[in-house]
Amino acid sequence: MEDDLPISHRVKKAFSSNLFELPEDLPLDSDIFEEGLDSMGLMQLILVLENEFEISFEVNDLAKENFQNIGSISALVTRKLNHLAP
Amino acid sequence: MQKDSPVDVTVIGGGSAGIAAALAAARKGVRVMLIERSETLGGMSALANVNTFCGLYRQNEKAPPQLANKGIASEFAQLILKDSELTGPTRMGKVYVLPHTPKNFSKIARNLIAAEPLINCAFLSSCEAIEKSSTGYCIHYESPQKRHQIETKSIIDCSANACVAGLLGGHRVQESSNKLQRPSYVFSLTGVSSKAGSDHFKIQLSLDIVHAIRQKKLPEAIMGASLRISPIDDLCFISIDLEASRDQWNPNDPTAVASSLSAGAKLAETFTDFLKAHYPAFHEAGPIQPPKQLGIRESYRWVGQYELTKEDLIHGKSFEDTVAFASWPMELRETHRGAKFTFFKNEVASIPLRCLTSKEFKGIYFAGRCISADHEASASTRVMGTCLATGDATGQAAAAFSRGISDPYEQASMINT
Repeated sequence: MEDDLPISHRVKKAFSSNLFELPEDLPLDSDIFEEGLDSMGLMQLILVLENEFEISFEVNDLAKENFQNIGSISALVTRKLNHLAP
Repeated sequence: MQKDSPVDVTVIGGGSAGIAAALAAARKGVRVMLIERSETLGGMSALANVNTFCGLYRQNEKAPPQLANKGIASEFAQLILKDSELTGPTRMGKVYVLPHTPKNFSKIARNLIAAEPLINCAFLSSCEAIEKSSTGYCIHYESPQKRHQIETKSIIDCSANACVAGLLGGHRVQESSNKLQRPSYVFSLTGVSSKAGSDHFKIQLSLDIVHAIRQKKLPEAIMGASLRISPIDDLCFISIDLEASRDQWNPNDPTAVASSLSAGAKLAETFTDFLKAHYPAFHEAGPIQPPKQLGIRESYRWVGQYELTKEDLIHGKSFEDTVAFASWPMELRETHRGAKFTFFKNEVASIPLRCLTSKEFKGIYFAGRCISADHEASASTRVMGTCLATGDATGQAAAAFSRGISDPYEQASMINT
């Protein structure tokens, strides 16, 4: 089941299939802007994540630090999902 | 009807592919006619404000930039650098690009073409008909004042729309509307502070755009907008990809093009007002300088002796008749919201002469956006750096053809890659 995979795995997969392939062994704390994410891609990434996890980011979520690496994105997504949970 | 002096090679289209094709053929000592429908050289750069040169450098952002092609592509890279204050290309995401200004590119092209006495140019001229003749082909074209006829041994289709295939009855195809690359609307502003060019500013702007769209302060269509400050003349270029009537988009339908152009103009106005209202860097911005036309990324392409595929590019398939190298990742913009990049396994991928050569007609070549490549592969080969390289190769091949060498493998062996 896709939903059973760790959040970080799903984030990375959604990133790779919508923007560009990230290296297999990319550490969770590696800067994805260094890997090639740019300002245009960032907008796209936000939409991709919202669709993939059925969440909606709010103003306070939209800070660069939150999207710096797969680890920080996964933490943000987890917070949003927990917030949604009944 | 005016009968022009016969030539060896006629190039249709004066964009980056056509400029390189004409130069390459003339430098091989054959007579060239270049027919361009607008009033200037430069193609999409001049008409649609394309302001970054993509596809000039090999795919390896971890190493210093290295040119992907020799010949005219590297000549242009050097001339553009010489005219700017840049010392080299800049990194955009995972790739190297060479920022430039459309005006400058047209000027460099004009000077190089003017230095070749064997090239004649016809501007504001469009091809009406092409027929086979005893010497090769007879092209009928119309300039503002009269109708012309010119005999030519060979033709290079650099029209970006395989228009020679349309006129001769050659095999050309266009992707289905929903998959076709979305067009762009690129406009420029003067008086924007260079602060707007920093990565920090651009990333914050992206986040602000998403926020403003959520608050309905900006239309959803602004998603994916990007900006770049030209290091050469302080222009700020802003690019917006257009949804362009989603499943009915057809770059050859003048009504669809006109309505997308006006949608782009409206978005440009809304976005500029937003920038001026919220960012000091834009307080002094001058009026919008619109493009002359939409940035069309994909339309008709030829089906030639070989069709280059996505897999060929990813795995770097080698060919005996390699004449140019692709180096830009496959950049698919099938929606207006952003690009999907697919990188190659190697730093470059080979382009064989057979995908620049007609399978039906002797002496007919194609370069630039309308080469024989599938939808994904052409999302790499369509960029200006690669267009210069395929133009260069076909110019040399057509020159060889006009001297009696018609085998693509033999021609390819004479082309310096």
